[in-house]
Formats: sequence, structure tokens, C-alpha cells
Amino acid sequence: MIRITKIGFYGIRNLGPGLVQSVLNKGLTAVIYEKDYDVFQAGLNIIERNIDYEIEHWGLTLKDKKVMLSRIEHIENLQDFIKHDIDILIESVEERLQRKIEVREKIKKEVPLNIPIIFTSQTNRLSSIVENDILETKSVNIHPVPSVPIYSLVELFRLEKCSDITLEIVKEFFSKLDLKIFELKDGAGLIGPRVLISTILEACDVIKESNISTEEFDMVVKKGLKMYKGPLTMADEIGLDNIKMWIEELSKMDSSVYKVPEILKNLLDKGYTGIKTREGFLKYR
Amino acid sequence: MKVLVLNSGSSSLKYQIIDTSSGESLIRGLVDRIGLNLSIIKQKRYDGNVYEVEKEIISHSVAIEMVLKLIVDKQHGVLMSIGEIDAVGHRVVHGGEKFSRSVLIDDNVIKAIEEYSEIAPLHNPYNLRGINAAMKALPSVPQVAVFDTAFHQTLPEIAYIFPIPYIFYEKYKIRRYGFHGTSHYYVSKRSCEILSRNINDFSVITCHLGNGSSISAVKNGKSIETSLGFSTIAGVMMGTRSGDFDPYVILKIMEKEELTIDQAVSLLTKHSGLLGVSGVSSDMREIKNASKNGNRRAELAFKMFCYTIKKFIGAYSAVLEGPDAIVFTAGIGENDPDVRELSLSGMEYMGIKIDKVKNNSCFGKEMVISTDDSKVKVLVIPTNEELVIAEDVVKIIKENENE
Repeated sequence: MIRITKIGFYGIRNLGPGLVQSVLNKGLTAVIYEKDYDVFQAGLNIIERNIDYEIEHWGLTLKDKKVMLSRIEHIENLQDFIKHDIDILIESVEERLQRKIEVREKIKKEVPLNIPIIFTSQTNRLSSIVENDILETKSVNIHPVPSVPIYSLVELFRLEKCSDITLEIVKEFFSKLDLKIFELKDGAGLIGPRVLISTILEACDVIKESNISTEEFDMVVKKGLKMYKGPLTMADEIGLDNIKMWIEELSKMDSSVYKVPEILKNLLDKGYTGIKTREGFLKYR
Repeated sequence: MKVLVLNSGSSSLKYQIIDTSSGESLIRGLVDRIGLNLSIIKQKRYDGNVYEVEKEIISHSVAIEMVLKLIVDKQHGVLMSIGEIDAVGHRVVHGGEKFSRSVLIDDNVIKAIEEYSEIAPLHNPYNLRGINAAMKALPSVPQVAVFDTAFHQTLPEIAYIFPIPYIFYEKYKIRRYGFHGTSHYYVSKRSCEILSRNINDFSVITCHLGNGSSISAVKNGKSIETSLGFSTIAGVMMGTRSGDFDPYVILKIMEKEELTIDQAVSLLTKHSGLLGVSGVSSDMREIKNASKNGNRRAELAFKMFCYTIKKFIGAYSAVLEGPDAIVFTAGIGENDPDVRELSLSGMEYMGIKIDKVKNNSCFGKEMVISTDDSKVKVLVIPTNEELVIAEDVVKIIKENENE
């Protein structure tokens, strides 16, 4: 029987808050390493806001919220992951290849635990992060597109040397989260992130050309294409700073396709990063 | 025989040892928060000895091992050896159409329970965890599955087919299954005994009113109608579950509020019922307190609850063509005279007369609370699902021995 009760999070940026929420939702404990208290607090705010949204939409109760938040443990020293006896470590730092590599090195040095490590790079190959490294056997990469836990599938990547037990534990973990796994050959941005980024880029072009509002764009896509959320709302949820990083990382693959649009740059210059600042492509209460 | 009765939930395991020769519960306990950070075990012995401990229990297998140790614990246990356990009875929520009675567990039964996980995803997989763990820990002890749905497998087709395209029954087995079967079976049988009636000529309406509630019509020992359906949301209004209402309403709300299926399910199961209407609580005692203090919505919730019970009693009286008795059981049914009184008010024309003095004095004990001249007898009977499971285990084992 595989024990999975405590999940370590190396950082709470990028898609971290959504993943933490998924973990809490299923009764597991999240041990979060984040040295920068403001970043930790910002991540926590996103989680709280997502839970409040679920309460407003009847998905959770106030009691659920209290119980969920009580299962978060914050640490400021990496070695404390050992004390907390975590069962899986999830990387959740900025979407930069260099940062992922730094994390890899730090994990090797300071968290010498024999547990699976889940990278969450949306735009880099797993091979770029751990190939020929000692962590290769116990690492996988996932593409969870959402920033909130309402989706039901993750794309999973592993390298040839990934051990069977790593895969078994990771599969058990996602099954606990009620997330189906779709395994893909290692690649950058497959499938969700690339489709989402392409849609956001197209949205920026359409808005620039047609003068329609961002709300109108999302409404048309939602109702016209029967999507659960508009792509601009999803971008706001993920965070426009993250989206910019995703585009920049993907541009290394094809710079003619992936360019940060002016509208996105302008919003970020004004400090609007989406739901977390209450303004992004759309405005929030 | 000493039977270990197990009821496995997603992160919990309830257990009891029942001596079937006396029907007495020797020990009962609960392992809560299995697989979570810190599990809690609470155990109470027949003599009042209580044991509580917190420790990490990562799986149902570990929980069963822990329970077996506690049962034979010199200080807090009740048996001297695990070898004294003659059989294990498992509560299994969904037995689909395949199981109309309890069965000795073998590979085929496990496979069938697994198959019914598709229609009971919140229950059967966890019941199976308990079964697998117990079979591993007690491999030579016979294990019996007792199904919550089995008692209602006698429902006639007109009661279990929903008025939607028949193809959904054929494709997905979408139909009324009913739940709380062991409870309805126990109190219907017991009421027959108390009233010294012949089971083959006895009609009774059983009202299982707890946090989850259901009402059944039982004729000649067989369930012929029941209020819970395909899921546990249907029927009478409950603590946090809606019960029956116009199905279009939820579709409209989903459209207006842009709810996902999960959110809609949560709305109907966690935010509705007494809690949803009152905005106060799902607990009947708190609802009544608030109502007494002038909370109009709490009063409305209380009245609605009793009204829906009354409607079902009326409907099931028609189905039974006149019941001989009405039974109240479970938390609210056994302990709330106000609910019983209001639910039966104005039904004297049907021969239902409640004795207010008796009703007001009845809390959690067996009692006839109708007047002596009441044509339909009204009873309060504390339910005992664990005893039903234990007795079924004995019956099945004896049948198998005879075979």
C-alpha cells in the first residue's frame, strides 16, 4: 500500500495554488516551502479566493474551507521537508528553465528523500530539466492547465529511466485527486498549454483588430464554442505574469508564433496580473 | 456466534462485535481519518470502558490490523483471541440488481461489487477496501456482504422505473434502488413482532429519519416502495439534501449560475434540505431552537420537513391500500416527538391517532405511541442495522454449511 498523506510544494507560484487546493480538497496535507512570505501570502490569497468562489457557487461549505486551510503547513527551510516526512515533492516555481534547474540542484542537495518529484513546467521538456541527472529516475513533468481544481485531466511526461515505482506512486497520487492521466512523449507545452496560449494570442489579435471588449470576446467563445470558461478568464486565473513567462519560454521553440502581445505587456506594465490583483484582461470584484 | 460487523467509508471504518446468541453488542468503535494526517480511534466496550487514541493509519488494511489488536487488547478489548471471531459481516451500500440478499463473499461477489462502483462511486470502492483488508487479515474466517439496497430489490417495476426514456435503464441501469435497507427491514420486522401480527398479512410504513432520511412501504415483509432513488438525494427533505423537487429547477440554476456538475451535486447534497431553507443548521435541534426564538425560516424548514414526511405517508398509505402501522426510527424519528406529531397531524380520518402523552415521553426506546383505538398503530423503534448484518451473516453461513 502506498502512503500518500503529505505533499511538499517547492514554491507556490505559477500553478502552485491550484495544485495545493486540489491536494487540500482531497483531505491531504500541503507542506509549502516559500522563503518569500509575501509570495506565500499571495498564493494563500489565491487559494482562499478560489475556495470562496466555490462556496459562492455551492461547491464547498464554510466548514470545508476551515478544514482545508488547516491542512496547510508553511516552511522556510528546505530541510524541513525531511522533518515533515513528505511523500511527494511538487515543484511550483516561476516558469523559467533556469529556475527549474536551480530547483533540481537544491532538491538534490537539501532534500535527499527517496520520493517522486513532480515538475510542473508548462513550456519546457522534462529532458531539459533532469535528463542524465540523478533525479531522472524519480521525476515526472505534468501539464495541469488549470489554476483552479475544476479540470479532470493532467498530461504526464516521463523519461525512459523513470522508475516503475515513481510512476506507480504518481499515478496513485493523481487517482487520489480524481485526475485522469494522459501520458505523452516528452515535449514542450503539449497539449493544453500550447492550445491555451495560442487561443490567448489569437484573442489579443482579435481584440486589437475588432475593438470588441475582452468580456465580449470571452462571452462569444464561451457561448459560441460551448467552453466552460473563456480563454481570457483562464489567463487571468493562471496569472498574466505566468502567461507571459509561458509565451517567452515557448518562443524558444518558435519565436515567429510565440510573441508577447502588446495588450498583455501593457496590462503587466500597469501591474495588472489577473484575478490576484483583481484586474487583468477582465475586472473582478 | 461472534460476528465482527464492518462498515467502511472513504476515510473511516466503523466496527462492532456482536454476539448473535444474545444479540448484544460487545464492543463498538470508529477509526476516523484513515489515510489522512492523523487518524482517530474511538472504542467503547459493553461495560462502558472507553479507549481513544490518535495515530497515523495510512490505509484500511492498517486500520483493520489496528482494530483486531484493540479487540483483543487485555485492558480495553473484549476477546482473548482473534480466533474467537466466527465471521465478518460487511455493510455494502450498493448491490445493484444482482443482490437481493446477503451473500458469502468470493471473487465473483467482489467483481460484482466493483462493477457497481460505477453507480455508487462514493461508497462501493471504500466498502471494497474494507472487504479486501479484512480478507487479508482474517483469511480463514467467512465474510459476508450485506447490501443496503437488497431489501428494496422486491420493488415492483412500476415503482423502480423512472418516467424517462426506458433506454437509460437498459444502458446504465438507472432506476430506483433505495437505501437504508437494513434499517427498514429491521424496524418493519420488529414492528410486526411487537404487534404480534402475521408477517404475511401486515403492511407498514417505515420512516427512517436521521441526517439522511427515507420512507418505505413494506407489505408482507417485502419493500414495495421507497423514497430514496438512484442516488441518496431523492425523497423526503433531509439535513443538507434536498429530497424531491422539480428536476428542471436544478438545470435552470446550473444555467443561470454557470455551475459545474460537481457544484450542482454539492448544492443538492451539502447546501439544501433543512440547512438550505433555514440558513441556520442541518441539525433538527438547532432548527427547533431557532424556530422557538422567532426565526421564520427555521420554522418554515421544520414545517416543510414534517410536511414532506406527511406527503409520503399519505402516498404510501395509498400504495399499501391502508397500512397497519407506521414506524419512526433513526436519530430524529426516535427522539423527536414534535416531528412525529406534526407529520401525523390531521390524519385521524385515515385512522391514525397519536397519543400525545406517550409520544412526548418516548425518546430512543421501543414504544407504541398511538392511542388504543387508533386503527393504524404508530410505533417508535430504535434501529439496529449492525444486528441485522450480524444475523444475516449467521443465516448465510448456516445455509452454506447445509449446502
